[in-house]
Formats: sequence, structure tokens, C-alpha cells
Amino acid sequence: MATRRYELNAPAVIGEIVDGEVMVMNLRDGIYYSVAGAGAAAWPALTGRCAVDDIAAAIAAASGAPLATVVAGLARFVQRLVAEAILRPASDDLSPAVPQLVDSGGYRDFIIERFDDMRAMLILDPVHEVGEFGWPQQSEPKPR
Amino acid sequence: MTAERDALTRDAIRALSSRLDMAAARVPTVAQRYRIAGACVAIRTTRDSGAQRLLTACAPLRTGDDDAAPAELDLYVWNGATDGVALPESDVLRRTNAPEDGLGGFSDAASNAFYQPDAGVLSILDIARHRAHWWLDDIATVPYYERAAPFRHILQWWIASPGGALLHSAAIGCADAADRRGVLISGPSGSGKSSTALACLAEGFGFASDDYVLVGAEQSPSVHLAYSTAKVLRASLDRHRAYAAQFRNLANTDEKPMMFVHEFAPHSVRTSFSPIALVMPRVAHASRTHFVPISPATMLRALAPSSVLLFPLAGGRAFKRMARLCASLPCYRAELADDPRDVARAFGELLGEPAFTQASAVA
Repeated sequence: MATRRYELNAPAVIGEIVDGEVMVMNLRDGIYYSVAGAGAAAWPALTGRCAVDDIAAAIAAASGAPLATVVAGLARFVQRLVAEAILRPASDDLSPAVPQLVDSGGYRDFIIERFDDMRAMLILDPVHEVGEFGWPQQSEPKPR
Repeated sequence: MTAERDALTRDAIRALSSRLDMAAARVPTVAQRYRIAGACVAIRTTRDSGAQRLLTACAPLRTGDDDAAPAELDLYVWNGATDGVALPESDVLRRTNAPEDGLGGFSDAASNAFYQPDAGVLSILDIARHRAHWWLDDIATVPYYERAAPFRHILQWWIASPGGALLHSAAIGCADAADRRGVLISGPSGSGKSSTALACLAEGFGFASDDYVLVGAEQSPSVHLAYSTAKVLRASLDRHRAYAAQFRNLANTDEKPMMFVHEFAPHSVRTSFSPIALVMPRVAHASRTHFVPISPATMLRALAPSSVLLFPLAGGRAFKRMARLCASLPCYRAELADDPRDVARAFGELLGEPAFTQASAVA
């Protein structure tokens, strides 16, 4: 577990932290995500190739939550991010230290919301295959 | 495999650029200068190509030919039907290396190209050489949306390169042109951006966009007009009947009715302003339009998906700018009433317009 490290699946996936929440977008399939709670706290370290066990320990220390709770939550979270092709295994052998986490005043679960309302539009050429509402309102289903 | 594919695509883009550069050296062109996002852009066309009819949307950005500033971008507009500039066989044009589920095209720090086969439009930007080519198979038959927002892919690469972004947003400014403040109105199509901008225009506000707008890279954001175009849904024409005489393409029933604001309200056009707020509109059929504060993250979710996925080839770079923008400004959701005058009233209050400031619309 300690050696498990990940990185952002760039350049297809991009993510930005705003106001304690992470917005993640997959430019390849048009799906985007909101990551919040402990997920947002873990995001810089997770995408920064830090070891998963180190991240769990840092979150537990910063939030006061039981380590076992954090480890289980983080494992599920990472599994989901990998399944969604947001993260991939780290491509190097470095193991950077976990950055200082902000004490958010208590433990909040690893929250991830998935939005696929834009996906249908990405498979279209958005500048012409549009209907009355214009892009990104799809006019007709396109046979694939 | 991806690196190999990217290298092939870069080579193909270089070959296309080279062919068009040779045309630029061989074919006489005339330059007209524009100020786009504060920078001087020389748009070069052949004298008889008919390209001018595609540049109407940019007319408010035209500067005099005595503008002595050096051009930061030379943008060549080619008409394949009349200029004698044919494109060679190319993987870019065949979209050979485009992902099956992607748009087709390529963009990195050095090479940017996108080909729209159905429209017959190729956009290429060479950042290092400050040169772009916008090649159209036949200007006479180019789809109307190219007239509505010409060379937008080139613009989005160019503005994203130093850290700015092309936003899928409407933008309105204060009624007094000397008051250089305004509001960005962002959300997906159908959320009320155009209707809000036109409601405000009708009440004398400044207009900077109903669909695409440029934001600079600087810490204190500046918003810049890209096009003076306004488009509405054909189904909503009755609501916009005050503009009936201004629409250019009502006879073409498969096109969104389109007009150029500078042609009938030149004093209302704002080419740049400082945004004081980001607003996500919602057609709420409210009895009175009002604003509800929302978090920067919620605003980013309204702004970024359509802005980034609309132009995914520069998405990563532009996304950072959008995130900074949302974090730096107050963000609101506008619960819109059906009455356009009430919508304008609320935005007037938000902007502190003297005619509207009797009561605050902010919840």
C-alpha cells in the first residue's frame, strides 16, 4: 500500500481547486466531476505522486479522524478515480512528501460527483452539428 | 504511441503551415489592423477574396491604418475558391490521427491546427512566429456560424497561450461608456445568456458579447469583446421583435437569427471592461429577477464545461484562467423573470446604475 502512488491522467484530464473544491474535467469524453471534502484535501497530494498511505496518515492527523476510517475512505476514492481514468499509476519512482494539509475543522468524507451532461456534445463537432438551441444542445442523435 | 502520433501530427501541421507561408510570400495581400484583447492583429486578405464579409463581427475592433503598433499576430484569411491557394494532401485534413471520439485537431505550445471538414475550414496558429492561417474552401458557401464568430479557434489558442481564455459567456457593461465596469454572464446554451444581454442592451447598457468573450491573463481581469454578434433562438424571435429589422439571416430557416450590434447600436458596444461579478442565469420565471450568491466552485461548474469542451484543444490552459476568474469575483445565480425590463432592472442594480439603484436585487 505504501508504494502505491498515482498521477493525474494528463493531458486528457485537467483539474483545478477553487474555494476548497476540485473541478475535474476529462477532455476526451466530456465528463466532469466535483471533488469535495477529504477528496479535495487529498487532491494535491494524490495528483502529486505522494504515497497513498502517507496521504491517509496526513489526513487523519490533520482532521483527527481514525486512521482506519481515512484509509478505507481513501482506498474507495482512489479506486473510483482510477476506474474513471482520472488517475493513473505514477510514472516515476519518486516519492514526494505529502504537502501540509489545511485543517478543515473535522473529517468530511471523500466526495465525488460525476456530471455527463456535456459528453454527448464532445463527440460532435460543436461548431456545426447543432440544433435550434446551438451548441451544446444536441440536435439529433448521431449514429456512431 | 501517443507521442509518436503527436510527432506525426506536428510534422503534418508544419507542412501545411509551410505551404500557406509560401502562399503568403507569393500572393499579394492587404492588411487591416484590429485591436483584439488590447493587442494589434493584422488581418491579411487578398483584395478580391470576399473575406471582408466574414469580418463584420470584428468591425468594432478595427483600428486605423495609421496604428503604428507592431502586429503581435499576422492572420491570413484565404479563400480557396479564388486565391489559388490549394492545400496539399495532409493527415491533418484527413484527421487521420484524431481520436475516434474526439474533435480532430491538435494543439500544444508550438503547433495548433483544427480542420472542420464539413465547413471546409482549416485553422492554424504558429505561436512562436506570431502567424496564423484561416483557410476556407469557399467563402461564398461558408456556414453562417463562421461569420458569427470568425477564426475563433485561432483566437482561443492565441489568447490561451499567455494564460488568457476565450469564454462561452455573454458580457454587458455600464450604460456610461466612461464607466469601464461590467458583468460576465455564463452558462450553457439555453440558460438565458443572449436574452439577458439583449434585454440589457435594449435598456441602454453596454454590450460586449452574447456568446464568446475574451479574458486576459492579468491578475486583475479585463474582459474584451471578440465579436459584436448577437444570436437568438428562432423560437424566441417574438420576444426580440424590437430587433426584427436588425437580423441578417431571417430567410434562412436552418440558421439562428443573427445580428451585429455595432451596426445599429454602435455607442452601446464595449470593447473592454473590468468585470465586477460573474452571473449564472437561470430561466426561473420569477416574479422579480433577483441574484443568489453562489460559490466560486459552483460558478466554475457553470462556466467551464461549455467553455473548455467547446474548445478542448486549448482547454487545459484556459481552465486555469477560468478557475482564477471565478475565485476572484463575486458569483451569483440570476433567477430570471420573464419580463426583459425586469431582467435589465436587476442587472442595473448589480452594476450600480443610477437609474436602477432604488432597491438592491441581491438577496
